[in-house]
Amino acid sequence: MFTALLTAIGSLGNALSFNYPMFIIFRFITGMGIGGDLILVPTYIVEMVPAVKRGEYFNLVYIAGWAGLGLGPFLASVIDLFNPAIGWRVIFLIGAALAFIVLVIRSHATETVRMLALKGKVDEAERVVAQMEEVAVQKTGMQLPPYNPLNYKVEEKNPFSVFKNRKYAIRIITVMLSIFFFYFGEYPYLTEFLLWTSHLGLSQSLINQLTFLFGLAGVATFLGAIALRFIVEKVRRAILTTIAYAVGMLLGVLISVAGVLSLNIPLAFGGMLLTNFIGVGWSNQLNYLNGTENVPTYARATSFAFSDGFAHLGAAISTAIIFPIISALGSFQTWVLFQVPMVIMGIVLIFVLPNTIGQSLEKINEAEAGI
Amino acid sequence: MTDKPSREDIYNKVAELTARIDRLPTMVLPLSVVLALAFGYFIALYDVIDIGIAFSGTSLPYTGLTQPQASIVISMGLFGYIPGAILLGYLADMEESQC
Repeated sequence: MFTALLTAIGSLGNALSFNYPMFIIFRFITGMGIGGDLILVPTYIVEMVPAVKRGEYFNLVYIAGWAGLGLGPFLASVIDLFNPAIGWRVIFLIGAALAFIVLVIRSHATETVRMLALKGKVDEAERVVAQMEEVAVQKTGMQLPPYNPLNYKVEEKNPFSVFKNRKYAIRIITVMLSIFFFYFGEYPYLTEFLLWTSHLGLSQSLINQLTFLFGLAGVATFLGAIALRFIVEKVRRAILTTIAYAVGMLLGVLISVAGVLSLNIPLAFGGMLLTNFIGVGWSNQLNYLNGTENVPTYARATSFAFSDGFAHLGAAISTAIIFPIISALGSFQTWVLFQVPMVIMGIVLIFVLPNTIGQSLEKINEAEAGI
Repeated sequence: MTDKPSREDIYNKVAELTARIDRLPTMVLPLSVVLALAFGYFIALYDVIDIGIAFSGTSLPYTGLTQPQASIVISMGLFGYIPGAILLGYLADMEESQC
């Protein structure tokens, strides 16, 4: 709720901004709202969805959600080209309006079962689960398998104490670094690629063409998120993550930049499609799964918030420094260099994270790694 | 609720409920919840990307910002994620452990 409110206020402020400090302040507020939302939504899903369906269901919500990252830029680029002078304000306004709608919808959503029970609303939690079971029986027409609550220890702990367990500390920090370097490479592409192309001395019509194609390529993010659905439960997450980083981000951005620099627009567009389809469409989902599946339940929101929150520092740093570095090293080298560290971290993940496919979270965590 | 259940009862209940959800053979969340989550994602991610288009070569000249200023605004938004994520994530966990 609160997250949507921050996002709405920030975007509204940006739409009305007329000077540099206003842009900075309102964008910061929007950022806070987005940061919170990106954490709480995955946490909700991992707690409310059965183990066998977690990856798949997660993906389903993502597909709908990632339309924002896919169709959003397309819509925005059309608006922008239609009227550049006002278009950018409209783009921010749409963000604010949609966030207000989310506020209204969210007020009807139930809390997670775990949260209800821990708050003492046991009857209500029981009712929600009983209803879920009933629906499951109706849907599948089969008897429910037995369950074993013995492996599920719930304790009252300060979520930050998760770092005292070495296994979790290593997992959390490795995942954090992988996301850190992913954002380090991804965000400059998402938010500054067009800004970069605008200062290459290209003609205005070419710049506008790139704005449109960049928006259009965003649709591939949406398609990529759907495609991931078919393989997410078949290949180990850490391996998929590495593939997404290497093929999607490193290779995709490399081709996009090479295309722009050689004025080969179809090549640039192809690179953008690859970056969006695999790089953006897959990596983000895999990061969230990596960040939420490998920690004990009591600290899930906190540790993922830690991973993802600090990881955004990577984005904040890279977006601030990329232009000075481009001036020093050159465009091609800088864009490619920014994508390399994430691939290295992806490989490290393969050695650190357990295989989570089809496993219950408590088995991977509480039962095997302790509390 | 007449009797307030003891803490241990509650923990046992949570373990039971978690186990029951986890063994379900299919997903059963109501559509409204899925929509709320999905739409929240839609807008959060739209808000991530919108600035990339708003600050494109097409419309940047109209915002009154220079390229270095635009990159700082983008960077500040991303700095905002950090307090946003950590603060709100921590609050979510804490709210759960306060009965």
